[in-house]
Amino acid sequence: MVNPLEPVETFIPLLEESAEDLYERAPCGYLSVLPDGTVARVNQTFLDWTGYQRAELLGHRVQNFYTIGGRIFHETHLGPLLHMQGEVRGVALEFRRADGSRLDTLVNVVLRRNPDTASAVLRMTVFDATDRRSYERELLGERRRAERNEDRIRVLQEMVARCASIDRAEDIVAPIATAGTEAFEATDTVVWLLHPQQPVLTVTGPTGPVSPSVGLDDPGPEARAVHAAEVVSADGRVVTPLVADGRVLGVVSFDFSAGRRVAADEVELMRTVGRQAGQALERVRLHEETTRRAWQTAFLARLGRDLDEAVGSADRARRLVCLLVPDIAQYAQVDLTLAQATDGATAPPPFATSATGYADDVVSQGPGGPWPIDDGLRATVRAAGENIPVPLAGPDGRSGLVLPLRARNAVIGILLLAGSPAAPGPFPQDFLLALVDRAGLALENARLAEQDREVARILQRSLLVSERPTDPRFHVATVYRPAEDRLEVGGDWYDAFTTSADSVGVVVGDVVGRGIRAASAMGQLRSAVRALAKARCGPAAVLRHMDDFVATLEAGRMTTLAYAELALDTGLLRYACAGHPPPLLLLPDTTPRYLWDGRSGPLGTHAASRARREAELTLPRGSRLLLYTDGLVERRGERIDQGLDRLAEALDARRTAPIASLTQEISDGMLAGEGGHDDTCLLALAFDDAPRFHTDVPARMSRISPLRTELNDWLAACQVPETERYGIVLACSEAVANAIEHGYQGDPSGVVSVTAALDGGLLDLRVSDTGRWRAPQATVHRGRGLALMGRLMDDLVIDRGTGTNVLMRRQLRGTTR
Amino acid sequence: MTDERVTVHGERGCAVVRLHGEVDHGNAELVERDVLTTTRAAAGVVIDLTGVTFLDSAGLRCLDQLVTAFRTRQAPVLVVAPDGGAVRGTLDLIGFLPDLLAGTLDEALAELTR
Repeated sequence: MVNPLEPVETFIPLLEESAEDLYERAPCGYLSVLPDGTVARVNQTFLDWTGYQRAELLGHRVQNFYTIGGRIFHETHLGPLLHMQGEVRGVALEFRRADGSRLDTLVNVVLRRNPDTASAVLRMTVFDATDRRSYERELLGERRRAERNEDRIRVLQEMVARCASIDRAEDIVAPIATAGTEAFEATDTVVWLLHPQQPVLTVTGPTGPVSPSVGLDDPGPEARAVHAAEVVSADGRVVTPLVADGRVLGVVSFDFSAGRRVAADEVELMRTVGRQAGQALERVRLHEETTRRAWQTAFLARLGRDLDEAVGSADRARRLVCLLVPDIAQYAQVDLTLAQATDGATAPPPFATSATGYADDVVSQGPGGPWPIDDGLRATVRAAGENIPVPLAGPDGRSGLVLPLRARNAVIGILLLAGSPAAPGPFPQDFLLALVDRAGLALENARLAEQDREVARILQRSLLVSERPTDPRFHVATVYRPAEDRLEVGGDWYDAFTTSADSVGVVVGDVVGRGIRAASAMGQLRSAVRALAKARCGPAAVLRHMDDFVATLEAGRMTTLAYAELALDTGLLRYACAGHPPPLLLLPDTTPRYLWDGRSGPLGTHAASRARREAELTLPRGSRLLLYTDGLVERRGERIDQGLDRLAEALDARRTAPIASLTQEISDGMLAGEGGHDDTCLLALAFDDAPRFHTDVPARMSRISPLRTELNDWLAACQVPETERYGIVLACSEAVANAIEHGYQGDPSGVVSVTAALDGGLLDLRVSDTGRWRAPQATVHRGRGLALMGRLMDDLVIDRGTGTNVLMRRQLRGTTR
Repeated sequence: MTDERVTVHGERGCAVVRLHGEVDHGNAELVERDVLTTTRAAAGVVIDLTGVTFLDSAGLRCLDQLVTAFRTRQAPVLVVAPDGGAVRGTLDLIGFLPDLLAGTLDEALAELTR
């Protein structure tokens, strides 16, 4: 087998080599092994490589010197192959060295049979393959690493994909945790998000009711990673920052089991995780911010709209707190008592017209209210300026926010909010500022409108309740109803007056528009009609003069009115309508009918007829005439003639009712349901003979007692029960005493005129003097007389002009009539 | 002049002032003066309005003055106005102090001499 050595011996005799030495010192190991594995021969090279003594090998089974893997290979592969092929070449086999380490080899094995002895021996040539095997192993490791990284990249790509589809910041936790486990075999992955305003990191995700937080001054790796904006590792934990646009939004901490080394390429991947997740987070934040802004804008728009629907400031305050809960807070309180605080002089009163006082000025919605608000807090809020909201600790430990409600550079109240909002927060300051400014303006506008309305109402009431003629031959009853859902009063009016000793004029009119302007125009028109009517020129002439009048009063143009004059001696009725719904006439024993004659256009009209016409007819006693404004007969979704039919039916059904209750019932009936959207005036004139009392009393206290007897007797004759009589007589007595005491101031030449009329169950009592009223000193005694009158009668109107008229009315209870 | 509307007598150590008829703007000041001049110091004073048929705001003022005057004299005062009567109605309407009111003279005297 070593035949090629011969020429070498020939040509290079420099080395003295024996075959023995060649065998022992060959550059490879030789082993001769018996078929049962017993080592029969071994060369020095193999012993050098493995560190065994020759004696340790010889006579022992070669399998004992394999590694476990080598032994398995020998038995499962090598043995069978040799048996079949007789030789195996280039197989990798691992020997165990004497020191326990591994020797990687490549082995050629040849089975030599001795045909004579039928014995066999395995000749094993062993080449040291340490370098090659380590190279192979390295290759394998590289491949595995590459595969591992591929897995990681796949995991991270999945993470990125999942992050891209989230729309809430907390949803980012699950993809990152999955990536931590699958890509890095982290034992725990925790996401910490940085608070948008405060230097605090808070654990995010399903960590239970209380999420742990750390401040940025914490020495732990999480806070350090935020500061460094770089991966920080400490004690088996690697913290990577969530970064977007160079800003740190939070960190992710990966925990690893002991002994796990984190390679540089893993750190690089973690950094990538932080960047990818940070960008996803930033996108979510932007999305959330956009959504939040959109919601806030919509909320403010809705707030403004909804507040405008409510009419009064108190209604608006109530609606405001209802709108704020639960979207903005669990609890909301509006306090409008601010202006009543110490320096009330500088701030406007919150509800100048509020009749109910404090209770109305504080409204709240939500549990546990109202919170007490003291003047100190009010002062703080007023002085807060732009430093809002002002935090507030509640009485029961709750915390809240206080905001000033502002309008026209004044703080008009306080808004208190507590409890987490249902809508996505937190709310930025500019949103809260816009909210309180909008709410404050709505409340203030309502208050101003209420003031205007109150002024207009006072104006209108003063015009509507003034002197009403009292004459035994007729009665007038009126109803005025302001629109239910309107802020401003309208310009509807009615009036009744005597135009001569034997003539009464009635008018109902409707000025275009609303508010103070309409109310004051109404007052002027009303006075003008009165003055013109007293000139006794007839209805058509009155309208002609009114046309001239509205030429100088723009607000009066297009006013409609119905005017009628009734001659009390003859019953002659003359009437004219200027663009106004027709009067409704009820004659005794007939059905009601509308008076469609005497019609022409509204006052000052250019489009309609200004040829003023009038009509006349004679009324029998017992007749009734109704004048009204269109609010009474107009109903949404109904034709005007249907309304007129309803009115005629309503009158017919109550033809015998006393006219005071007649007007009430008709307006109640007509406005029920869908009605009441406009102001309504109704005036009923009854041409009949009602029981009437009249006497003139000399202004002496001693004459009051006989007057009382006289009045009491008349009331008794009218079947007014005794229980009612005493109060009426007492009220009359007080009014007369007032007239004597304050009107005439004891001047006995004065005369007090007392008139009483009874229509159905309504007693009308008028006490008039012509004295010069001198305001009495306000005393409790003086107040008592008025208080008695006010409490004894249902209505008390004191009208001071030339002299004083006291008009009192009482609906009699338990009368037989 | 002593008005026939006022009578005063002593009973159980108290002064009983009885007013009669109408007490109004025409005579209230007179009634007040008469009562104050005719009623001497007593352990208690009863102003009995049982006989009063009419009482107006001047009458109320008169009562006010009388109660104040007697209290100044350290004399406890009660006003008798029968329940359900017109005068009682007026007193209730104006919010006269219920503590000062009694339904009958006997009740008033019992209260004052207790």
